[in-house]
Amino acid sequence: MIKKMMIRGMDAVMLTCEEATYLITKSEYVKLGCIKRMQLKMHLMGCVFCRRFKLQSELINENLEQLELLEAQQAKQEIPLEKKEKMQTLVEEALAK
Amino acid sequence: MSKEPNILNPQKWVSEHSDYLYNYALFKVSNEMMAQDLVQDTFVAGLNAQTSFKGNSTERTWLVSILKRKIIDHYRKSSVRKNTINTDFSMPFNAGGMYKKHWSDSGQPNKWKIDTSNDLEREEFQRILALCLSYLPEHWRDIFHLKLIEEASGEEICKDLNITSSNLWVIIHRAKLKMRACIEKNWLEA
Repeated sequence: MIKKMMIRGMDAVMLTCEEATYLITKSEYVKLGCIKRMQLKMHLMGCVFCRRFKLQSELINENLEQLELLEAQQAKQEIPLEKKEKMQTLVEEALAK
Repeated sequence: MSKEPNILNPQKWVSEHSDYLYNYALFKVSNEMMAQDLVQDTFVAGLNAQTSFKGNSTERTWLVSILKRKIIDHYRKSSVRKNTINTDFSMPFNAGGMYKKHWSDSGQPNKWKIDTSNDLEREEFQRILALCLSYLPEHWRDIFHLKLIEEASGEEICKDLNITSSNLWVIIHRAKLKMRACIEKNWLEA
């Protein structure tokens, strides 16, 4: 009976990996509450897979940002000439007003 | 370097900035026609807002900030039709048993042997990242991208996309799990 209650108590405190990964993701954008932060810390101490998830998630975010800058800078795509001419006319017209 | 304030030169916007803005928009909306329209809208809005340019940023930076606003507007309009959470995704966690909601055997993250200080490896990693990003459901990708625009706040995005904040985290969480699995699969197979 007591053992059962203890297990139930542990369940309430210990996060599942699903909850832990959810909190890891969320913590990348906002600050977690005190209790959640402690729970996550405890979970990470004991769970190698969630520790890996955290590192990999950070790597993804970092590279996503770089990728985005890269894509914009490389300017591989060009707007078709006729569309550009249309835009230019639009600008000229607005300026003439 | 001179301290002269930057000035606007709308005559040259199309020739000097349109392709840059186009590529920026293209990465966000992945639709050529839509991206071109967004650039055009940006120029029109810019012409009307010339007086708000204070000259402390470059002309291009200023135009990009208008474009970002336009992109968010675009998401807002299109999100009305598709603001549901895609459930067509199996979670990498056990559905039941003693280890319910803990990593399943097939879902467990493996250790990644990636050295991102090595240019070649980083390039390859980013190539796979872009590929996996393109596999995400459209609505998830929108949120992923929006999150990167100027670190927009969570509330702002929820308002823009017409979703609740818990939905936002659920979607980002799933998108991240899916991206992770996709990268692992493609990286190991490469």
